[in-house]
Amino acid sequence: MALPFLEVLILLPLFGALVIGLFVPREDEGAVRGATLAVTLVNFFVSLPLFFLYDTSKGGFQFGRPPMDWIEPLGASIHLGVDGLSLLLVILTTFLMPIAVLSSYRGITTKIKNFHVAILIMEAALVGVFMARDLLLFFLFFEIMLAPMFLLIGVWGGPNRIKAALKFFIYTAVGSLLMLAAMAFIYTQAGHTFDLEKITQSFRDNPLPATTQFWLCLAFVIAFAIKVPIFPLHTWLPHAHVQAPTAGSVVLAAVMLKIGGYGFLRFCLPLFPQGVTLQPELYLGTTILLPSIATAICWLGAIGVVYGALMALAQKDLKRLIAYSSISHLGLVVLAIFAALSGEVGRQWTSGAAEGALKATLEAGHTRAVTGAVFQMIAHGLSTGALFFLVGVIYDRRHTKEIAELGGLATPAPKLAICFVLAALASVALPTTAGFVGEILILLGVFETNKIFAVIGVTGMVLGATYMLWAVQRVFFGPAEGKNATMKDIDRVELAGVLPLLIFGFVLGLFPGPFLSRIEPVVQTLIKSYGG
Amino acid sequence: MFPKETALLPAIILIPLLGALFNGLFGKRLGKGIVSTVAVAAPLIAFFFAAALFFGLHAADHGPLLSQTSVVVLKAKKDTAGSSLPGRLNKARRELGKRDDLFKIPEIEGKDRNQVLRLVGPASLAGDEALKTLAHRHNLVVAPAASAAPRSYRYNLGTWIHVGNFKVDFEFVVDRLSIILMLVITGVGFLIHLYSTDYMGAEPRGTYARYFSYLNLFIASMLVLVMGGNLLILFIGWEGVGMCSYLLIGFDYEDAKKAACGTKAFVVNRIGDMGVVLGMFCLLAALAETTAGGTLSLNFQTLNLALGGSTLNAGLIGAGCLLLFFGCTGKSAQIPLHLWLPDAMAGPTPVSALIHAATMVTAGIYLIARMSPIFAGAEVIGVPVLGIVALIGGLTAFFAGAAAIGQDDIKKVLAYSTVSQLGYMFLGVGALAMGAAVFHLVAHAFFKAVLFLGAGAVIHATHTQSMRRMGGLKNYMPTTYWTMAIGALALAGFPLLSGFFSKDMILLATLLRAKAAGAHWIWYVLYLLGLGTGFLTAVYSTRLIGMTFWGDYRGGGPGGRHPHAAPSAMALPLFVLGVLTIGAALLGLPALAAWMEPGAEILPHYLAPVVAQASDYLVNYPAVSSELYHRYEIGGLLVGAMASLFGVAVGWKIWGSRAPSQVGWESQVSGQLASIRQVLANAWYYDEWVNKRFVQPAVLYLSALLWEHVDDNAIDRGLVDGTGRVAVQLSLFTRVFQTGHVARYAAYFVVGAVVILASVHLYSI
Repeated sequence: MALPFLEVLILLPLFGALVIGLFVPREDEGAVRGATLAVTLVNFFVSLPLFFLYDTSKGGFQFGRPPMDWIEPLGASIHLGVDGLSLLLVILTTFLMPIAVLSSYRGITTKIKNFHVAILIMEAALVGVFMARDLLLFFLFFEIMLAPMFLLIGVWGGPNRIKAALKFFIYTAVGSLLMLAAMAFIYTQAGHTFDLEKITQSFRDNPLPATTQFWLCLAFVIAFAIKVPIFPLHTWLPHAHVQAPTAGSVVLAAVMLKIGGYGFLRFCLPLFPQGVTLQPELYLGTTILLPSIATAICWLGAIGVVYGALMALAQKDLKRLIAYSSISHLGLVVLAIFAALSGEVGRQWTSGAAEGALKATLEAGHTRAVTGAVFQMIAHGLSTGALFFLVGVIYDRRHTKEIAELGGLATPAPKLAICFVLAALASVALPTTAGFVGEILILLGVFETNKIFAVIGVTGMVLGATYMLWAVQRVFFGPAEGKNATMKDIDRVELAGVLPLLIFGFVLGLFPGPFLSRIEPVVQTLIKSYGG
Repeated sequence: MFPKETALLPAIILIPLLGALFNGLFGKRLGKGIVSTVAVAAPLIAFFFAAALFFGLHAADHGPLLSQTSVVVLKAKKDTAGSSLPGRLNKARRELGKRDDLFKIPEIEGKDRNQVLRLVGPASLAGDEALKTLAHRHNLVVAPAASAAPRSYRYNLGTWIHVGNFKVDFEFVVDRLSIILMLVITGVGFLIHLYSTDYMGAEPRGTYARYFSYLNLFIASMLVLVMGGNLLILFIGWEGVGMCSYLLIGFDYEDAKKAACGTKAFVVNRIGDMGVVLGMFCLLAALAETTAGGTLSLNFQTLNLALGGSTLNAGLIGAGCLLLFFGCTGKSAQIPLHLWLPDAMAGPTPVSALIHAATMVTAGIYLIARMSPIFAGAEVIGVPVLGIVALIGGLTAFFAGAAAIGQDDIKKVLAYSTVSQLGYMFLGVGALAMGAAVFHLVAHAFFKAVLFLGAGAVIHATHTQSMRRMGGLKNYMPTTYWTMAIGALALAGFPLLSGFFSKDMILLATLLRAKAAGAHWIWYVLYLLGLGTGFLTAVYSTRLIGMTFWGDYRGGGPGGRHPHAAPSAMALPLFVLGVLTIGAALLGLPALAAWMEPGAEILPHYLAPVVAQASDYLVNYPAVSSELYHRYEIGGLLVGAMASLFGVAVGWKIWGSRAPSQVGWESQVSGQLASIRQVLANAWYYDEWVNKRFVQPAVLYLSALLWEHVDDNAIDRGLVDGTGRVAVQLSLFTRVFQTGHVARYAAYFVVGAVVILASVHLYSI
């Protein structure tokens, strides 16, 4: 398999950005939009073979080539590769980018060329983040990705865009600085290399002391917890969403937030298993045993499920409501990733003390929960992407997202209403939608290892239905008055953007097999790295 | 050759699903004629297919349905050597393929040494010489088909979810229990579709198509629910019908109140669904420990076999069953989650008849019957789960029955009545009389559909739902009157109608349950509650008929001056259902004569092999001799008849014998009676209480409070922006030192050096 799929996936959008930036005239809006759409579509079709050619029986990283020296004195290399986890997130990204372009054809009317160039650069960076097999390369893409999003919010955003963009940027930058420090330390410990494969090998041969692992892990966890975001580090998200243009919201919710979960699975768990489960001691006169990172994150995730949903109930702005729903949904994902490692059992597992039935239960539960979590990340991308897209459609027509100002939209815009109801049902994880498969696997896996978390997590089912359907009711049902009564229905271009999201939501819900079979080996590898 | 019947299983679900898609996508453009044809044909075809499966099952279980048919098996001769049995059977099967007089493809059945080849063919088959020689050649013998466990049809579409050892298939099963439900769903469903063509006839084309699309989708979902071979497939249907119910309750979405009712129904159902999900997990966890590493499947057969009567993991099983029952209280509108059903009446009346009376709300009864071997043995801290089921059912039956008396809205009466009758069914299920509960389910589906459809015709004619504005309709719409009267009498348990026998069967089961050795005294209370409910039912049924049809017409709603008889598409289903209401009694005629076996009633007897039986699970049940059993039976029937007749008499005395005046005269009652009426009209103020104590404070107040004070103020403005402000202040502070004067910098350096040296020095001593 020598075709350079992975390199093309990064370079094609960059090349497209260059060509559009230099050669397509600023005034020719149609050409700019069309060319961007074409580039993103081609990139999607380039990424598709990855899915079908990926050999599930072999698992592991595929399609990569040997590392290529990049910054030699630092031991940094250009090393790409995809496993089941990366694969699905890469395809999610390439799938969503054309949709993001379509979502902005009505809403973006100024600096159109700059906007589309930013979108293409963002695509390259996002794809790179998921494929990098080198810490420094990962960090590079991680940072590059921020710039276009910062611009998207700051230039094409709503009235409070500057503040929201700054909050987004500073918050993420704080996290990434911590991560950079941790990376530097890893570099010194793992034999002066940033290559993930070598680092993993080195840590397997000479494990770091648990306390060191703890501090490194903490730095990574904070960086990614901000990205997810986990309560109480979440307040940048509603601001960013409310101010961002539709395309920004779609990409932010559907792809960018997933970097948090991706980071946990790619870095925190396999590199520092004992750091995740270590119970730090705090000396205040007497020694106090603090909860481990896993336990703490689980509680924060569980709180996030309920808290995010309650926040969503209280919102008056439709976009803010969906933003909080993301916090609730992703709380469950985080809970799933860490549940089996929480508490005393988790500590036993990573220290090799867990045996027999306990180990089997933990492995089974962890496999289901994490597989469900990855699946749910994709499902959430589709459903929330669709919701933000549709809010954008409403905003482009009514120039408001205030729920109180909307109402009865189903009468003038029945197709839009059907799409929104379908997206809402996908979001509340109705069986046969992708969200259901993800949620049921997560809840089952968590239940197998920790029943209390599962009971808290399951309340999301009710709360989610409450805020979502209540919002649908207030926005779409009832009598349509004033400007609402004359609102235009969704048009063909917009339908072309949102239908793939809705349809794939059902396809994944009915035929999750090929996706699950690509995720499961990732979890098996993960479990192996826990030792024991 | 005949196609295998199993191919009908997916077809039965697919047909209404395709109907829904067709009407949903193209209906608006095609016109009402095509829309209604497609929509009505879908459940009808599904009904015929279901009937084919029913007769197929029947033939498989009881041999030939027609005398010209015979069923034989080829089986191994005793102690024969030679090639393996499956190989020989296969060879014989291939050779038999050449015969064209067989009715079905020969099938190999059974396991290992007991494998047989089953043939269905003409009556001459048993003595067929050619067959005998063929059998002889393969070391086999021809034998008449032995009656085995009742057959079921299975169809597996492939794997749905498979992670680790957890595997769920798209599998469907039709056995005696599901086929009864399928016939009701498609049969009653067809009649209600037919009725709807006229009832919704005045709607614009788009709305009309949307309505039938939802209705077909509901039929498909409901079929998935009862045909699903495992708990997760059932759950697809379970939530699917919930979604259709949501869409149809809020069908008239321009009315904000109706839309809100739909949301409420979905959310309350979801509360119950949490229980289903957690209950499922509990049972899976119990299964995981029983099978130790084997495949974790949610297949009903696997679960029932592995967990039914298992004493291992009793805690998990008990908790699982209780949680599943909690889910049933949501879907089947029992205390404490019954509050959505009266609001569900916001939907069009045929929808109320189909979804909120005949089919969807009975899903809880179906679920427990389906998993009855597990439920029968499940206990939570020493209390049998089925006891809790019966208690909830009995209480719901009584309190909802009383609330029905206080309603003025004709649909609300029927709604509370449905809640109450569902309670009856749970009482029967709880008393381990699954057959009786399903009998009541079927009878109720018929007579409640009659009542709802009749009510629809009345609403159609009078333009109001308030019975205070009705009255005297007997003369205007006689067909509706007579069919509704039959329905109401059946509901009231009037002697010799279906409701009379089905209720009696449940009450008898409760009484016998109380008589079982070691039974709790609460069963006697439950019996009395059931009896009391019977009386209340008779009262409100009579009141319903009285206020609607007797006396003088009180004018109806706006535009309802001139009530008219129901059009034929509405009258025909009424008539058919009326006949079915009377005929359903045959399904459960009690074993009155001494020569009849106890429990020999047709429907319970038919279901007995596939559901749990009290006699299998209760020690010393019934604790009475056969002779005594008949005495209970006759006594029970007499007492039940008295309760019913007394109720009808009371109803007639109050609402039938006086001429009602123009306005509702019930409001003229005063004193204690008025306050009772107030309590009943508000259904014990349960809805208000839940709103005031839970919804308002917990959901609305708490979320607003957290949002304003915690999220926005404390976290975002406080911690996050605060950090920013601190950083800014710090930089302002440090800026003071950045003066650019080299001398100052030198001074800082000296001070700093002194401080460091001093601290090092202090630290070292």
